[in-house]
Amino acid sequence: MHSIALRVRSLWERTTVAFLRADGLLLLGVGLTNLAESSSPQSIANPMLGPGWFFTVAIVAFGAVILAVPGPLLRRSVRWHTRRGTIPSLETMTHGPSLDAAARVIGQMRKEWSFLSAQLAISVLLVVVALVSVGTGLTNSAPKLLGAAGSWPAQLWPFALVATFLGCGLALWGWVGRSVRQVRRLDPEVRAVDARFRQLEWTFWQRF
Amino acid sequence: MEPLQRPDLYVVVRLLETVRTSERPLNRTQLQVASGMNYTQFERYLDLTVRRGLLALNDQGAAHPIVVLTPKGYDALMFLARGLREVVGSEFLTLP
Repeated sequence: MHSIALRVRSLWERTTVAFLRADGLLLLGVGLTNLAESSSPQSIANPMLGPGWFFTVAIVAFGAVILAVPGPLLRRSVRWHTRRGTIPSLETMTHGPSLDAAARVIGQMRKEWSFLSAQLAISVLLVVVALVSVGTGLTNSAPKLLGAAGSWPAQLWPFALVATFLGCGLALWGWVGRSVRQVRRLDPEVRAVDARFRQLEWTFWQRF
Repeated sequence: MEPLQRPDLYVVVRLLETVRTSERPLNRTQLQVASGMNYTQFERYLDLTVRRGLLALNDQGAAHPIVVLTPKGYDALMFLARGLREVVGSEFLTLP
């Protein structure tokens, strides 16, 4: 029984880290793309993402921080929740049936995931804006590019950057999706066992 | 000492099971160490189980009273062992 609580907690940790990493990577990608786009000649004609260098640097820094901190952040979060009793300690999970523990972890997980999902959605939106921005810039300058083959690598590197981070983002997205599906499958199992355990608990305290 | 708001059934099982399987009589401190609980939690659960008549303190004038499992405590332990086995679907405690 305790293995359910441990499985839930391990999934929660892995998925939260996946969420944060995906988010950090996407933000970093958006920031770098914006940086590339705003430093290219096309940006003067097409300033779709041009609120200035400060915004760009802020996005890059924020993305880098999010990308770098999921592990320590999660450990702090787990310690904090354990102290508050929102989630049970590993000791309780390892030694006890702790179905209530599993249910509490799932509840906490849902709360955090809704926040992380919103953050991830904003990052995806920023990616789309960046893609449109770079895409439009490249399309506008296509005739000029075709006429000057020598300048292709220099002109296309922002596009390559976008493709790279988008690929990484999609891979992480798949990872997050898989973890979420695993938790969804586990959730009814935990709930069913939890209901039976609560019934046993109620009967025990009535009888003894 | 604050009473327990919602006692953890497993901790109750652990306490009763420790007393039942111990090879020698245990006093409070020995039982606390054997059951692997911190002092505050142990005192709360001991108080609960004694009040419910599942455990008893057999002092007989001794400085360190011995904790014993009552017949009601034994029944409770068996009830929980069977119940948990049904809930978990595997052997949770070794039934005597």
